[in-house]
Order: sequence, then C-alpha cells, then structure tokens
Amino acid sequence: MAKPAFTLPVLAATYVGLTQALFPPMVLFDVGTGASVFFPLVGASIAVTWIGGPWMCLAIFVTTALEHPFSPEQYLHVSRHVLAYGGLGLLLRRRQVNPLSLTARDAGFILVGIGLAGAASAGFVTLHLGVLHALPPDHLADTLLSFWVGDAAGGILAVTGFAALFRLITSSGQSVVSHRDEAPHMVGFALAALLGLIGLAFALKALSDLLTLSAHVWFLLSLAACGAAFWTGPIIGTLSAVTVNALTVCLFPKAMQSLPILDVQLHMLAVGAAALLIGAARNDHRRSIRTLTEREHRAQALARRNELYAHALRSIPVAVTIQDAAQPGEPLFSNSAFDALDIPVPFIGSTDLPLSGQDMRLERSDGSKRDIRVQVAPVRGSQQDVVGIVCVYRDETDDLARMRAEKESERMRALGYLAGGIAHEINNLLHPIQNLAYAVGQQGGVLTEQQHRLLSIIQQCAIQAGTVVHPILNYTRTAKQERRRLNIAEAIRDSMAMVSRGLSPAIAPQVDIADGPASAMISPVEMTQVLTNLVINAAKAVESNTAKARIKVHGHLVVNGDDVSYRLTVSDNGCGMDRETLSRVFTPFFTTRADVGGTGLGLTIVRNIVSEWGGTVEVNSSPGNGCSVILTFPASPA
Amino acid sequence: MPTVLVIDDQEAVRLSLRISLEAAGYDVREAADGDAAMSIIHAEPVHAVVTDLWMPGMDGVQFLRELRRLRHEAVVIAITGGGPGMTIGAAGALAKTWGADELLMKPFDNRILVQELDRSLRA
Repeated sequence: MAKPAFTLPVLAATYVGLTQALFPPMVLFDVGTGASVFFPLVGASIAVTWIGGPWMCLAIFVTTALEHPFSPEQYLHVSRHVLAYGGLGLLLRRRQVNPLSLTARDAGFILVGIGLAGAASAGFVTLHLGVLHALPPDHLADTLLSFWVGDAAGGILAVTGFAALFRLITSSGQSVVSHRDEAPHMVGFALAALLGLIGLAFALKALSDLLTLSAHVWFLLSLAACGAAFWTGPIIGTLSAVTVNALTVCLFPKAMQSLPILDVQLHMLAVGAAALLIGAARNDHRRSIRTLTEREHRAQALARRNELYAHALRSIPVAVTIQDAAQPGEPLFSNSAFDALDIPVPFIGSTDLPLSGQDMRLERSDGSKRDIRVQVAPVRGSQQDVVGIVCVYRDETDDLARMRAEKESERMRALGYLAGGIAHEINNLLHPIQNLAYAVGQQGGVLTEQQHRLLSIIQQCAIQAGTVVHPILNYTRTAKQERRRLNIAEAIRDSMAMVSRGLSPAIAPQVDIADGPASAMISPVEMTQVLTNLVINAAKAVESNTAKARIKVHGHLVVNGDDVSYRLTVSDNGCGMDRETLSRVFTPFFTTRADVGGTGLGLTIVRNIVSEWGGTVEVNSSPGNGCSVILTFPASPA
Repeated sequence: MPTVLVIDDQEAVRLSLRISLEAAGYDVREAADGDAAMSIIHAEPVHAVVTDLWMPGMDGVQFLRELRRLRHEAVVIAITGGGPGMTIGAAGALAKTWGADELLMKPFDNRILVQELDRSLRA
C-alpha cells in the first residue's frame, strides 16, 4: 500500500495533539496520589508506534518537549515510556495485527505485552524514584503497583480505539479488514479469562469491599460493558469499558477514594481486559463464519468459472488442443471441433516453439489424408517457463482442393481463350476460301474440267481444315465445370469467403444475400470465377479512395409468374466508366488496366459463364458514380 | 426482293456471303461492325441479319441486344469462327439468349445459310 508522503507527519501531529488534549482530563481518573485507574496515553503510545512504526517514538518525545523542554528528568521519565510502550507497539507491528478485527489471540498478545511493559516501567520507576527520592519501601511498592495497574488499564482499554484511529489516517481510505483464518469459538477462552480475572480480584479482597451499595451499581454497569463488548466487538467493547470506568470514577468518587486504590484499579483492569477479550473473541467467531461463507462463495464462483471456461473451450468452433509441455503428443484437453477432425495430435516439442503456422498432412482413422494448418503457442507459467502448448488446427483440405480446381480451371480457360482466338482467325480465313472457291466454280463455262477439280480440292481442304479447327473450340469445354443443382445463397457465400480472403479488410465486400431454397444449375468453381472477376474489378475501381469504399454483393430471387430467375448484383462506389469504355467492357482483351496486369478477359469470362447458365449480364455505370454489374440467370425456387 | 444485312469485320467473308446471297436472289447490305449495321437498320427495311458474334467495336452480341431493344423483327442468323473464350457452347448460349434464330460455325457452306434464310423468309 503506497502511503502519501505526508501521512507520517500527520500521524505524529495527531498523536501529539491527542495526548495534549487528553492529559488534563486524566485527573478525573486519579483515585489516589499519582495513581490513575485509567491512563489512556499509554494506549495512544502503543497504538501510534504499532501503526506508524519506529519514527513515531520521536512523537512521544515531542509531547514531553512541549511541556518540559528543559527537564532532563522528564526526558528520562519518557524514555522508559518510549521503551516500554513504543516497544510493545513495534512488537505488534511485527505481528501485523489488524486493529479493526482484533482476534482473541491478538488481544491475548496485547495483555501479555502490557504486563511485560508494566514490569519494565516498574523497573524504571523504581530506579528513578529510588535514586531521586529515596522513598520508604512500602509507599514505593504501593505507588509503583498503582502506576503499573493504571498504565495497564490505559493500555488495554485505549489501544484498540487509538490504533483504529491511526490506521484510518494511514490507510488512505482502503479497507483494513483482513482475512486471516483463525480458529473460531474463542468465546469460551474469553469467558474463562474474565472469570480468572474476577477470581484474581477476589483474591485481592477487592470484590468483598466493592459490594457496597454504590459499588454494586458500578459492578452491574461493568457487566453491561462486558455484554456490549460481547456483542459488538473490540472497539465498542473498549469504548464501553472506558465509559463505565469514567462514569464510575465521576459518579462515585467517594466510594473510589474509600477503597484501596489497587483493588479498584485491578477490578477496572479486569473489566477492561474482559471486554477486550470477549469482544475480540466474538469478532473472531463472526469473522470465521464470514470467512467460511466467503470461502464457500469463492469456491462456488471458481467452480462456476472453471465450468464456463471448460464449456467455452469445448464449444469454440475452431479445433484446439492443450498439451503438457512435459508430455508432448498426449493432449490434456481437446475440444469438440478437434475431435470432429478425427486426426492424431501432432508431436510438437517445446523446443519447436513458437510456431506461427505449419502445414501438416495428417491421416484420419479411416485412412484419408487431411491438409491441416497448425498454429502453436506456448503456455507460460509464472516463471515464464513453457508449461504447456496450445495448438489451433485448421482443416484446409477442401479449400486447397477447391483452389487447385480453380487454378486448373483458370489455366484451361486461359488456354481455351488463346486457342479460341487462333481458331477465330483461321475460321474467318477458311470460310471465304471454301465459299469463294465454290462461287468461282459456279461461274459456268469459263473453267476447264481440271480447274473445277482444283477448285473442288481447295474447297475440300478448307472444309477439312475447319474440321481440324473446330475441336479446338470445343477444347475449352473441358475447362467447363460439372454443373449441378446448388443452393445459390450457399454457393455465393462460399465463393465470397474465398474471394474476400484476397482483399484488404478496408474494402471487404458487404454481402447481402437473401437466404432461401433458391437453386440453379451452376458449378461452385464457376461461381467463384464470376465473383472473383466482378469483385476484383470493383476493388480496383475503389482503390483510390478506400476510406469511403463500398462494395456490395446483393442477391435475391425474382419471381415473375412462371419465370423464376436469380438476380445477383455486384456494385461499387468507385470511379465508374464513361460510355466509350462501357461499350467495350465485354470485348475480349479490352482493358484499362494493361499496365497493372489486367488481361481484359474478366467480364468476357463472366459473360460466357453466365451465358452458359442461360443468363445475362448487364453493366450500369457512369463516371464518378460507381458501377453495378447485374447477373440474371434461371433459378428454381426450391 | 428481301434485304439481308451481312455484318462481319472480314471483308472476304462479307464478299463470299454477298455472292452466295445475291445468287439466291437476295438484296445484300454490308457492315463491318455493329455501329455501321445499326445505321443501316435505322435507314432502311432489313428482313434478315447475318452477323458475326465477335468483332471489334460494337460486337455481334451487343448489336443483337440493341436489335431486340428496338423490337426489330428481322430473321437473325449468327455466324462465328469462335474467339477468345467463345466456345461453341458459349456462342450457342449467347445466340440463344439474344434471340438469334440460328447459329452457324465458320467455315460453313453458304448454301446452308441460304437454305435457312429461304426457309425463314419465303416459307
């Protein structure tokens, strides 16, 4: 706990102010010459050194310096005070006792400490008085004992109250309730202590003298103080005992003075000590119940939390295992997603850590192979050593297969485009050769038989060349994907998942696809090709202003009587196109991005694929107003 | 005499078609691309259109689309020698989508074309 720098001076000043204020009323507690029944300054000294530490001993000296700045005798006198009570405070400090929740053991410690401190002070006083005053021995003994008992009463009765006050100053408002686990049921011990002290008072014949009329009342009040202490704890108990003692001294001064000083003091000491002990025991008992309940609550909360963690970990839709670093290859934990993968846990030694990602080919129990990407992270213990290994698995088999198929399809398509272009040129030459040769032959009469034969050969060659070229045009059909009836929304979502991977998150397309049973005869690879081309075009159009970029993929079923079609729109808010560009978008090899690798085949591919689905492609755009490409193709509502 | 508009960017193709069609008694108009063809469509009555699908400028598909937009009732025969990406399947699908009555793959015998036109226009 960080204490503000001014805390200790404030504490010292409070102590000095308190002792100065309390000193005059002390006279009230004097039941004989130099013998007080309650000397609270002792409690204040113990409390201030307990809470404030060794520096507070100086504050005790300050109180003397304020009253008798030039009296060496007084400094000697206060030295034994500092040694005895300051020392006890420091002892308590070593034990780190919490004054607001004093346990019976703490209270016992205080009592023993006060006894020892009293004995020490008695020694000092003996020395002091013996040397300086040479008093008769019996008087000396009587006075010393009175001092001793009065100081002890002050210590016992005041120490908890003052300590609480000083702790309040130093605690900066933080809770001072501790949770030490002490043995409960100290009430019996406290009651035994009370009986013992009363027995001690009997032995000193104090009780028989006190059972006069006025003292009788006092005794009942004393019992009330004990009762209050019993129910409320050490602080209220202490305050009650102090009040009872103060009232007794004030209300029955004559009775007090008529009785032997020591007897009165001992009895008061017994009341105070009992109040302290019983209060502490009661507090102890209550706290142990509270501690037990809190511990149960904490245990329950912990169990709940652990259960939640376990469930959450098991339900994460990503395959996860946790391995003990000491036994890699044997998972401590695997979640449902991992179990569903049906693959063995790969051996990853802690020396391999950390792995950002590793591709592994693992075999399932049915013998099939899966391509798995494994990401590994070390679990570090409190010493930063690797105690466990967390692995996250991603099955990329289907994605890889799809990517391979797509790549192959792209390759075939590109080849087809090249072949198609060559075939076009050849066919366009063959056509006039074939037909013009025929036309020449029809111009009757002019040609010889031989010339007719030659023209016929030219014609036949052209026809034959055509039959050679035609399969080239059909060749690209091998790139055509197997089409089957697919759920359109699913096909679009799957494709978009692939397409979006290649895009910067800033321009991630907003996909708005109506769910439903709509289906069409399409192939997933073709859908991906269509969307890849359209979304890449859109991304290129918005790349100059990604901050405001918006790419939308919107699809829904259009039912017009018996005519059911699906309308898929890919739109952007990019730079748009002028009329000239727009009129050529479907022209193969026409591109405005030749410098950045545009092939000019994108929309041609889209149109050809959609045509093969039996659909149409429409492009709407104007400069600065973005572009929208609308695909409409036959669909079925089921 | 029915008028046939022949659209092809290859002059030799146009010539061979003109000879065959004129021999069959058709009046022939020629255009090298969709834009030129559109001008003729707007200028005079055309009973049949023979158009290539893949040409520079306004290509055959765009021309056909424009023709459908105008609700022109000419008989349309698409002809193609293929092209980049223009498979026989794609060409067929495009021709069908945009309302061509027939698709012929080059090189073809012009007599087949004449037969088709005769069947459609003189039936």
